[in-house]
Amino acid sequence: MIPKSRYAAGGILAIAALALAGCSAPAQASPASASPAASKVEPLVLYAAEGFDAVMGKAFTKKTGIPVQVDDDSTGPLLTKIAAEKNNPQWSLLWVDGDTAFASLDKQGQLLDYKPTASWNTVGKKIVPADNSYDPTGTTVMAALIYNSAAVSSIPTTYQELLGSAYTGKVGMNDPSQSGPTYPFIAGVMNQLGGKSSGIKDGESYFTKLKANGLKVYPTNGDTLHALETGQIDYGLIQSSAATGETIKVKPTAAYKPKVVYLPESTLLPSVLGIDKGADATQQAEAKKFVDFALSPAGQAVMQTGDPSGDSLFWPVVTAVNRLPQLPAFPSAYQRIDPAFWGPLESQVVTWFDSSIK
Amino acid sequence: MSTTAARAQTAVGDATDRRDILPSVGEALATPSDFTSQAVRRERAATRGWQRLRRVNPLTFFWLLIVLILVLPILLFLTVAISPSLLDQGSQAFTLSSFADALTGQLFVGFLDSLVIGISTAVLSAVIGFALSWVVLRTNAPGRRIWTGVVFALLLTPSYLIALGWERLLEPNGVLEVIGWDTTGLRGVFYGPVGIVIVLTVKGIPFAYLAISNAMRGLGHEYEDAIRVHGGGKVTAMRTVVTLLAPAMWSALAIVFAESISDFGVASTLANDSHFPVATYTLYNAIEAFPVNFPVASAVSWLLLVLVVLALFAQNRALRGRSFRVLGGRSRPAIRHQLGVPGKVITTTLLTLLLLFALGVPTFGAVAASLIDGLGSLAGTHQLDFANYQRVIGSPQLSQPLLYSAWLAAITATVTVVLAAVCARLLANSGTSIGGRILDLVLLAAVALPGIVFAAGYIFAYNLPFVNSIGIHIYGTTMLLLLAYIATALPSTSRVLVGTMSQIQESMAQASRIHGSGAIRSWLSIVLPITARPLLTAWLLTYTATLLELPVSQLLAPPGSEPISVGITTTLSKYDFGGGTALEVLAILSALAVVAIAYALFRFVAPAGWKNIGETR
Amino acid sequence: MSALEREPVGEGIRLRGVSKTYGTVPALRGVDLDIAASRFTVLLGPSGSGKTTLLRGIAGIERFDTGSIHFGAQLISEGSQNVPSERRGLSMVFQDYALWPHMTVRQNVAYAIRRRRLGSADAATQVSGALERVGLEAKAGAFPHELSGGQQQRVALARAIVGDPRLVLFDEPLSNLDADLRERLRVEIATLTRASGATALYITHDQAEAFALADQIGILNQGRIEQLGTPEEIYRAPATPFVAQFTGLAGSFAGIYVGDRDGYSQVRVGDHQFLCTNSTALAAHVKVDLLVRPTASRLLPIPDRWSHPESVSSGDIEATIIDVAYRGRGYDHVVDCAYGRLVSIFDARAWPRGTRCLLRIDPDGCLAFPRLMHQSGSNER
Repeated sequence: MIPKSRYAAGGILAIAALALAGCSAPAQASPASASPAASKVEPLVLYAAEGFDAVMGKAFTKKTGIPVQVDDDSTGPLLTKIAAEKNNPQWSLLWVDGDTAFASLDKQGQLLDYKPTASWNTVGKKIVPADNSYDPTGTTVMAALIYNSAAVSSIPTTYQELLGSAYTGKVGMNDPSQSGPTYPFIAGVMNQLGGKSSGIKDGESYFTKLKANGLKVYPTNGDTLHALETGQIDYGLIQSSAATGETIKVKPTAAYKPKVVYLPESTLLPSVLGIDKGADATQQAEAKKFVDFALSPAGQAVMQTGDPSGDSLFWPVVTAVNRLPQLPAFPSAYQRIDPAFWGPLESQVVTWFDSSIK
Repeated sequence: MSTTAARAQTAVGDATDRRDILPSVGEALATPSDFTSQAVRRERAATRGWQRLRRVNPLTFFWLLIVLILVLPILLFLTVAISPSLLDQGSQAFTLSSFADALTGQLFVGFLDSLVIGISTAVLSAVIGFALSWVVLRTNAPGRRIWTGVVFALLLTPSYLIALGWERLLEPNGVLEVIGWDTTGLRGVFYGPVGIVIVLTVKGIPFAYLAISNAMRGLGHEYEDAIRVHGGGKVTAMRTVVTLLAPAMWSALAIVFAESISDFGVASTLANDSHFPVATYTLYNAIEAFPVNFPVASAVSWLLLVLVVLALFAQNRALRGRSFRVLGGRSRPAIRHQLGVPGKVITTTLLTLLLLFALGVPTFGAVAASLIDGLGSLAGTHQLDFANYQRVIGSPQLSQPLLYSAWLAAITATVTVVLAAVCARLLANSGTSIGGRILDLVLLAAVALPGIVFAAGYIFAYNLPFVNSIGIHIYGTTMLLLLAYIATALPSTSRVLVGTMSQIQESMAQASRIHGSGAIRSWLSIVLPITARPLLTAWLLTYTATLLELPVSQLLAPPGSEPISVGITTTLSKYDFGGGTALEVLAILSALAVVAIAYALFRFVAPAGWKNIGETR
Repeated sequence: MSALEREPVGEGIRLRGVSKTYGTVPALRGVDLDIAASRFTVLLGPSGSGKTTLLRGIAGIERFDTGSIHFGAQLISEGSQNVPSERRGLSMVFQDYALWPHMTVRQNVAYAIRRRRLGSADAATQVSGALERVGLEAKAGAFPHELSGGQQQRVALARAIVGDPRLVLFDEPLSNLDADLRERLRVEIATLTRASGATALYITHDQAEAFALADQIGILNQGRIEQLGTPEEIYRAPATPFVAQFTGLAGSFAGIYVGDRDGYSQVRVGDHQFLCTNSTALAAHVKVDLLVRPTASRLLPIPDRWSHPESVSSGDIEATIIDVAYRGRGYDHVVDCAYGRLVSIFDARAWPRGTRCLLRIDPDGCLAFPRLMHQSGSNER
């Protein structure tokens, strides 16, 4: 009889729902519930794309006893995840390279302002936004010009020189649609050439000329390095940590001696830590402790040893910490580009680059 | 003289209803009014207590699961295009502007490009898959036994490695140029639609081969014999086999088509310079932007679904009204064609070429990147160097994620095979009913939507505050990742089984029901053993596909547990090619070991009767 | 009860008002049927007549749209109430044998006895017994694909009778077998089923098979039972032209009913008058079809003085031999006469093609039925 089958169907649904609920271990307490600050410890959820994020999480837990669940992934998927979670965020902290995402998050009101206890050095002061909505933990620059000194005689001193005949067909860079750090480089060039008013136009003109001079585009840092190693290019414009890593890793031979220079101006590409505003009070308090830990000498030491050939090769932004000896001195000519301005333009610029330059 | 050939070709005579014979929920729970016979009293007793649950139609659970793991996430993602504010992705509660934003000239070009690529890939994969199945199952070509292993290796090979291998071969100062071959022309051709089709076809061949060979095994030789006796040559016999295998062929075509149009990675790598936009380009642009433009991504997904509907339409028209039921107790093992020397030479050459092309290139790429120090570069010793492997083996970077992923892949495979068998049976039996068509559409939609979209749909569905408030906290747990894996694997696995399921003669299960076994017992004791080998293949397919699955893993992995694919990608993105590739190779080898063990177990442990089906003498 | 038969264990089957429609095609239209317990009932009909649907509905493989099924006093199916297949106490022999390919012969048969829940020794004895009865004990360890078609069907038969089911269903089990096998297996089916005492329901489109097997035959046409009775009744007194046709006709002539004579009906066909029987009341001067059974016709040489007036009404008619077919026992002839063609005219000797002869029609083998307008296809042979 029909009514009974409806009961059965309802029963099945209920059973299934219970089963689902029972099978799942609640990963963390729902951050959306505004409970008064409890004295109990809640795990921190860290979405991070840094090479040393896992060891940092462990070190923090060892120091404070607060458990950290690290979601270690590439920047792109993490940002997609955060965007999809918008109506019910599950993260406490986000730690990725580049501040444009954070500027955007701040605009959407998702970040908690926090001024850490550490004091910033000159570079750090330039990066930190006025409202302290996010905090850098270190910085690299875009771009380092890595070149094979065994194969070339001329070393450029400005970007404009790359348009000259000595560099025809010998320069390579990354593809901004596949390499995250590359858009800041392009935006930096644009900012340098024309600022906010005519930067895009001037930048497009520059890259078009560079392309006419035989610019080669490779998907990522690694591919550009490979091209350098195989002699397809002699000069590569890549992220500073990748360049430094190459010079450390590779034993120079007669045919290949990688060296690095920094052309004015180098665009800052900081690693940034931000706190979710929607997290409950306990988590917010714990997150602040994490930020302070990351900027403390102990934390920075962990970071500097956690990923020796990759992300550890950053320049510090706090006064109490020195750079690793493997790193060269910080480039003298550097700029910080306004993420609130250049961030929203990424889609447009990358599309232009892919259709006109690549 | 057997009339089986004619029987195979004509539609079923007495129009038989292909409705499943499981009782409906209502009747199972009905209380009979005033009957006194024993059986009825037994019925009444059976409806009491927990027996009531057993009498409930198991199909209800199945459909519920399909809704939860497939329909809900897809629907929610699609809703975002129309109602962004529902999920906080925009301010409007109802709008069509995302479609307007998505429908640019480039998108239309992209759609045409994707359509061309999808069709070419599907047809090529099906043709090669069929030829391969034929050679392996129906001839005595030398070297045929390795091909099942090769096919699984192909499944495991990530398209990244395939593209990398080709790049290393063709790049300036690459290996081919070092030999003296000017690769400029080849490069121009490869870095464009041709290359995309090549790489995607290599990825598509395993699906096609598995689907078609499963079905070919179930085809006894009586059909070909019938043709030969009536004067048809080898070609006619082969054409008959193709026709009889139509459900499997169309399954393969449809799934490869759907996989191709949802691809982005291969297209973006290879079509970089050639300005060959594909349909997913707009979608990925929308997702890469921050703030993420889900409404536009969703709008493009709607349009991708249109392509899927077209594919299904074509399939249904082709399969309409025919009967393909050839697998039963009367099926006799097929006999191999004995090839003469020229035949053997030709097939061996072709097989070797295919092997080199499909598997050799990515292997070379892997070797070049991880084993040989600085191959092709000015630096490096160009010698075999195990440093990468030494670094990776034994490090927790490999072992923990690999174990985690292997465990998840095994669970996924087991659950998926059961569900896929049910799906395949439904698709085979009620392909033309509303339920069958909807299932077909849902399954193919899940494939056509890029993985990242699918995963985002999961976040939308299971991170809803409402869901949390009714007590379901599975977002961010391994459970959700498992469900997503199952949902991702279900479409291809069911299609691989459709060929087999449409072959099982209905009388197999009917005879079992009539002679006293209930529905589930009939399934377990009759249908599953008959399909044991295809089910094993399906299990291994799912295992290998899940182990290295990427987009869903990236978005849904629980914090603190890292699937191996995410680890590999992060390593590669830190430009550690050597280490990343070494990780990849080791993961692939571990999966191949599982495949070998599984087949060995089947060979030595399974009852003799199970291996009967599809034996070729 | 003969020595071959045991205590009847079968039950009678009662169908009332059973119908089923597939889409827009009605397969069964309100069928009422009573199947006698422990008797062998055959449903005979062309394809599309609904016999398969009826069988599958009784088996539980399909559901009827309306109507009820009772096995004895037990309600099996009515409206939403339905006893599932596995609880109906049936067994079935399929057209395609339906042996499970992954099980040996012994395992195939043993599967069917599981529901009896016998001890393993008992079950093994029953299985061996069944296999012995079909003569395949020696092949108990073989797999189905190693057996010939006939052997497979015998295994299916063993599987059907093991465990003493109360009802055995047969779905055209002999259609896929060679001619010589068919007869042998038919005998096995008949003896084994009767020996087991089960009720048997058998469907086929082969008239000879049906007549040989049945205690009771039901003729189905387009979803309706046109006649139910013993083979003799069906043959001698078919209720409708369709039944007559389906049970074997040599041919038919169009004529007019002119009255009765000597207990027979008189039909005027052209210049001839024939005597025949009829089962329906005929109005005077109504148009009829004169249906001629093969057994009612004989070939005679034409006498020297042919145009004798008596021969006109003696049921003799001039004919020409068109074709001769050797049948082993004799010859079947096809003859043409002024009013049509007759087939299957038997004679022990062969009449050469083209010979003119006399065709004698025996009144007892002739039937007259009123000619209905717009009879769809049932007048065609």
